Amino acid sequence: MTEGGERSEVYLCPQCDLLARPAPLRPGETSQCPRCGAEADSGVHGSRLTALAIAATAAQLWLLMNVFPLVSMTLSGVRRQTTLVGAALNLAQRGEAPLGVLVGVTTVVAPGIEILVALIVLASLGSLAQSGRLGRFVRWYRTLRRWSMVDVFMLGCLVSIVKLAHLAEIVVGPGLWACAALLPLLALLNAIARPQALLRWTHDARTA
Amino acid sequence: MRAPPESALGREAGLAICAGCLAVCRVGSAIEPASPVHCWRCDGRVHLRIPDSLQKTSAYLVAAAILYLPANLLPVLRTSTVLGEEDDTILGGVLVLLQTGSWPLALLVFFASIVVPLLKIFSIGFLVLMSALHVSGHELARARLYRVVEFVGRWSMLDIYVVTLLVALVRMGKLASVSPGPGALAFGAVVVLTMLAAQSFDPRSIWDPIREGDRA
Repeated sequence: MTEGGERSEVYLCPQCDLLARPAPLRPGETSQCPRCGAEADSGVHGSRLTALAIAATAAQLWLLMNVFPLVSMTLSGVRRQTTLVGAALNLAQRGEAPLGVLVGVTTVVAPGIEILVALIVLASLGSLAQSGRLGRFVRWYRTLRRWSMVDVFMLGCLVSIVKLAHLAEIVVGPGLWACAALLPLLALLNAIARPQALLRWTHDARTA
Repeated sequence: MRAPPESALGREAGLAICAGCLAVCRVGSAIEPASPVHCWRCDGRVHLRIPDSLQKTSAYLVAAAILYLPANLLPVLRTSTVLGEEDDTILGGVLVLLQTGSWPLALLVFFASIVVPLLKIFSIGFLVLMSALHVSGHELARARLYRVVEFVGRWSMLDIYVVTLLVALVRMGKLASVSPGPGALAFGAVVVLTMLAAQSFDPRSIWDPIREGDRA
């Protein structure tokens, strides 16, 4: 078993411990574990460069989402607006520091590092594999992804807007538009840049 | 994927999958090896089974179940306007949405904030109980239950984000202001604890009793 080797010769199901021989997949096809039905593998949907382009776009949108106000609200001539970081800090200042940290981590920090790690991995796949550090990045990426909740946050924004819309004048800011655009990109990135795909690309780069 | 011969299990072959990077690692057949095994690809710790999975999962679950009460009974939002003060619990927030006529959103928040955490606590509790008692049967259904619980868990954060935004936006002094209530922290803790419970549960323990039955 060498790093960046061809498709793993065995499939070992993380959910039921089944050991099987993986069948070749056509692009876009997914396979399930025959024992427990867990999703086992998916054919590569895109190339490394496609994934890299998506990650680069995601990074820009992440920046916009954090810099610009999400929503602004006007009530009796008084206008209030908030950015994502501002909203998390505001919670912390009002005696809810743990909640502020939770919000900051799940919407700013985790997605940010998730995108950064994806960029690093996709841009320097070959040299990372060569130096044996690819696995570590894959591990960080997979751990962070669980705590990255931009999609849930987006829905939370919509619910808040509906709640406030009948009380005050609400204007959606550039930050929220960026957030909306970031959602499908993150989903796409997760679908394309799976660990199996990374290893396949590494292998292709070596044999090319 | 080719269906394998009946004997092929990772544990029996001394192989384990790395939870961090999904590499297949040779770990030997001992559940608790004398020296820790590290993944050849990412250097993370690799185990045949998550160590003390059931204990850890139950601990997170008990904590989540206890906090579920204050999370739902205490107000998550405190609204002060010129007309007076008003406390809103999670359910109160759902009712407000319902009154303003957006019942699809009310239903969504009701599911994400009230049904999902409760369902998670009961589902994971059920899975832990079955695994602890080494019950075999309905493995596929239990495996699916686990996957559903893992998938929907994060959506309970919805209400935390709503509180965050309302508190950040409605700061109009005497006219209207919203501040976080004590229930919010408890609710956030329930979400995090149930996510940790799902992550520390080892779904392979659903399937393990099958082989134990064979050997007996």
